[in-house]
Amino acid sequence: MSEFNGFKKVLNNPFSRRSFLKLSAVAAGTTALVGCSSSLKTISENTVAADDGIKIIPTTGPNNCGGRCVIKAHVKDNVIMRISTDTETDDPRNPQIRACVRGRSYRKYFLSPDRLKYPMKRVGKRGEGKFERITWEEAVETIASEIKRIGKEYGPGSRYVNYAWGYNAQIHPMNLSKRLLALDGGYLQFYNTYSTAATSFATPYTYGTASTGNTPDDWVNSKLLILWGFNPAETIHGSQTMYRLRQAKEAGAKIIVVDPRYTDTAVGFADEWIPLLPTTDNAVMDAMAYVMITENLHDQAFLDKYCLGFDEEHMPEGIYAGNSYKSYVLGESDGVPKTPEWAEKISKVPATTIRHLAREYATNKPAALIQGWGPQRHAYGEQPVRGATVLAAMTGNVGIYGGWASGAGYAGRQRIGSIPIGENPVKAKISCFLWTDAIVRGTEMGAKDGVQGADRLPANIKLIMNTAGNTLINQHSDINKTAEILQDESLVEFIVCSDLFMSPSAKFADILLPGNSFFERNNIGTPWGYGDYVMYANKVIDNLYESRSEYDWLVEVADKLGFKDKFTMGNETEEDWCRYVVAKTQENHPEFPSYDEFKKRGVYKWFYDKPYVAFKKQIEDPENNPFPTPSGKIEIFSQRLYEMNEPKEIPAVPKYISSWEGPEDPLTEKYPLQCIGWHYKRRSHSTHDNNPWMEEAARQEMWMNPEDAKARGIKTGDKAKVFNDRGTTIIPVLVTSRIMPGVVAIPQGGWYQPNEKGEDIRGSINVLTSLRPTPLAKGNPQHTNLVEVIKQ
Amino acid sequence: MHIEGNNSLKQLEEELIIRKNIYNFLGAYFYNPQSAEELKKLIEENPFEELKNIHLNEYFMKGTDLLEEFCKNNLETEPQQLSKRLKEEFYRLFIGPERLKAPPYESVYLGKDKIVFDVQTLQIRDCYRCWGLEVEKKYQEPDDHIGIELQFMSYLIDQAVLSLNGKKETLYENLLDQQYFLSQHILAFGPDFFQLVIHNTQEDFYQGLAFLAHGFIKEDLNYLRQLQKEWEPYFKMAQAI
Ligand code: SF4
Repeated sequence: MSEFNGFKKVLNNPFSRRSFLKLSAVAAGTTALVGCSSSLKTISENTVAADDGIKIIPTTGPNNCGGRCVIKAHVKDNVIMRISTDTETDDPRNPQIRACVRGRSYRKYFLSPDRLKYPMKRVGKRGEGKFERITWEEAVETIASEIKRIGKEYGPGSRYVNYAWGYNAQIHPMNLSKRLLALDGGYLQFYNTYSTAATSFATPYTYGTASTGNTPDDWVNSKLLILWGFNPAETIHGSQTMYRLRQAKEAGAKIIVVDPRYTDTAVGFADEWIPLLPTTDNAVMDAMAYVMITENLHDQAFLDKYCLGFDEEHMPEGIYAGNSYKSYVLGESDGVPKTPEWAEKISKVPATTIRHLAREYATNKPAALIQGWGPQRHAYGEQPVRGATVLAAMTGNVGIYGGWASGAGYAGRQRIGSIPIGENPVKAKISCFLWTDAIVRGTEMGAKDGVQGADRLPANIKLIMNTAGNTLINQHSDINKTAEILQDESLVEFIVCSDLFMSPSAKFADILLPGNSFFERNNIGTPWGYGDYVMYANKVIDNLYESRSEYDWLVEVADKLGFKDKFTMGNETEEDWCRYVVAKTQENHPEFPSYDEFKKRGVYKWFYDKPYVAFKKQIEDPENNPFPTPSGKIEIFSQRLYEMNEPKEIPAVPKYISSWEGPEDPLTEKYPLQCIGWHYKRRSHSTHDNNPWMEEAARQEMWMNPEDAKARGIKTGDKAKVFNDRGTTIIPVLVTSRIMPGVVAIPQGGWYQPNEKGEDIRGSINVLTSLRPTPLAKGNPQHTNLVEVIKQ
Repeated sequence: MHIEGNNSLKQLEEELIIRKNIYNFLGAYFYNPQSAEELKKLIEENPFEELKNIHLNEYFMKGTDLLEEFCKNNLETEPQQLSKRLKEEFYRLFIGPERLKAPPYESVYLGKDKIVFDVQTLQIRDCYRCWGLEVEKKYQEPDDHIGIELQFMSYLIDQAVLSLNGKKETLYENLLDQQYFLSQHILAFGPDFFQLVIHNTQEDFYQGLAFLAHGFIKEDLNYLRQLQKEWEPYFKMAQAI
């Protein structure tokens, strides 16, 4: 202080006080605040509210994690003081639904100062990230007029609603956008998902349905659980799944995990871990079948009674000999017996391990071979799906307690209401993975590209609504190529995005809207598949800044387009729609509580005496209950696939297909490592990537086996460049024997962040992935990638 | 100090008004980007020139230097353009859409979770409420925005001026509130906030403003403490009566 004058002293000195007068005078006139009056006002009336204390309001997170957990917001005067989770009494029939680490950080994440705050329009080039604030009126006006203009100019089929699951609940932003366009003449629809394209598509070729799962409360009845690429510790499938796994383990079930990675599920539960090279699952499955057949461990009676196409004696009429699964396995049709030694060479699973696994599965009945979704997100992802269904049939584990039919494994006992999308006048459909193709060459796409409902697409995609999703860039394949396509403003002419943060996808918006978080809207949510409960997501605070729910502004767009009433069906608010959803649910479930009761408690749980077992009826009384397949049998051989006449890539019985960018591809000389992704416990897909607490919990890093690391001089913590012809990403490495040699794994969902050289610096795996779809489902082959890694 | 002396009262009033205006100025500039006219006026007047010789403290001097330079250098700049440029910077620093370079909210600095709408927001809301005020965009924008807090100080000082000319016994309490609000809130996070602005901004203008504000609020607390001492006897006297 000594060399400086105190303010008091300064002001006391008339001379220096005068120096301030000018600033004071200028400052006094400072009232012309741009776009805003004063920030404080006198409290009107007598609203000096008494302290009304803390209210505890139940809600639930909307992350697309597969779970759905109880979140209790402790709210005071519109401020969430803290959050807690389920405190209801535990009941083993339907236990507590407790939040994971991500859930515990919802407050941290969704109240981040970095939230998008105002509607914006793009001012730079598309994708550059330059935006300017606009009013909601301007945003709504622009969206409505672009929808109209593009619909007129290119036809309604040029308008596309992109796959978007950043917000997973019954009132679903993506479906609301579809509802809007359906009422305005239609839009190009998609089928499939990025999660389960191959399994949802291929499982029905065996069983006639994808609902092939028992409910997880049945696992306790299994003697053996084979978790094949199934990692529920990280990829939550209903929030109580791990509880069910623990119950099974405690009841004495043996647990074997098949996965290139020693996953968290394996660490916690596995008696054995069997690593195999990605894309080689069917080699191991075929060899298991070989062992069962040659050692006569298979359930021939079951196969005879319920299945079609296992052996030559049970083939559809008119099919030449040698097309049965057995003939293929024994090498009678192609001269290659699928012995464990044959499979060992391909998969790197020792022949003795394969023999042992086959014997374990065949002799421990009931047993459940449960497939995760990783193995089917591959170049030939349809094959492991059907391969495992054959093994389930061969061991007679279909339709019984403790068994598991394999395949998609969906199991849901409830029918929860949702908002109708409405009839789409445009009939053409694409696989959700092929939208970038439909931008570039839509009108050339037909049946060969998986187009359904039309011979050709009516138009290329010209308008994209991307509401609450990051698949526009980050979660699609080949980010560099995708960005290039989107940057060309002559292709897609208009993109509207709604998001909470400036995500890589949001950067590509022409109009970018600030979404509100689940704390700020009412909704109703369920977990992915497993879990007998439904949750009410109560709105607990007001919208932050000028953020709004998608419904809110879509109603205004509908109004501009002249069909507001049809769009809302009289439901002005989301809460009105919640009432609608509850009413629909009550229709399906008369026992369901009243709206108010449900809203107040925040959760409704169903209780059942017994697990649900898929195909129980079909097995117990096959005469009266055929499988919903054309033959009424379990179709190990599918005539429908046979007739597609693509035996190399779409065989009628499941087969090992040596994959492009698999371990046998000559490209391994240039790119010797297989790179897979996985669902990281610190993110839900790409959500939470920008959540600093989650980065502390588990940082973004690539797993690499010590053998591969040593050969490249890489140590844990080193940054590495991972690259192939499609792109480069830079990521720190974890050197660990938890992953097998020859394979590296990058947790999916890191936010693409290019440096000046165009290299991603956030370990965003999709700069490496390919746009080539799977042959049958036209699904995404996200884990089929060859790469090289060098120390950065 | 002769409290009842008209001269010193006059002087005090002048001091208060100066402070009130400066707080208003800082509050406005940190709450919103400025219009072209506003900037034009500021540049033409260049009120920082004369402040250069006031050795208030290092920050303050640095601030006046930078702002004086800014005014000088931009005499010829097209005001619309300048306003646009500074607006872009304002958004980059305080609003987004990218990750904020300097979040302007108290709770982001003092709350343990570094979020908006936290305990601090409620505390600030209470402070405003005590004086019969609330934020315009209640529940929509956090109450503890640095810009609003600075403007609240300005309001408090304005009330002090009213007390001075009316019920003098309320002045003491007002001074305590000013001191409390400044020390427990603005000064508790302001310096960290200003440092973020200083380190992350690409515009001398905001750097200067942050230096100036930092220097000013730091000294203003000392000022208030001295003022409190001077007014204490008077307050006690008033109480005795
Ligand atoms: S992220 Fe998923 S599992 Fe975690 S708390 Fe939320 S809903 Fe539950």
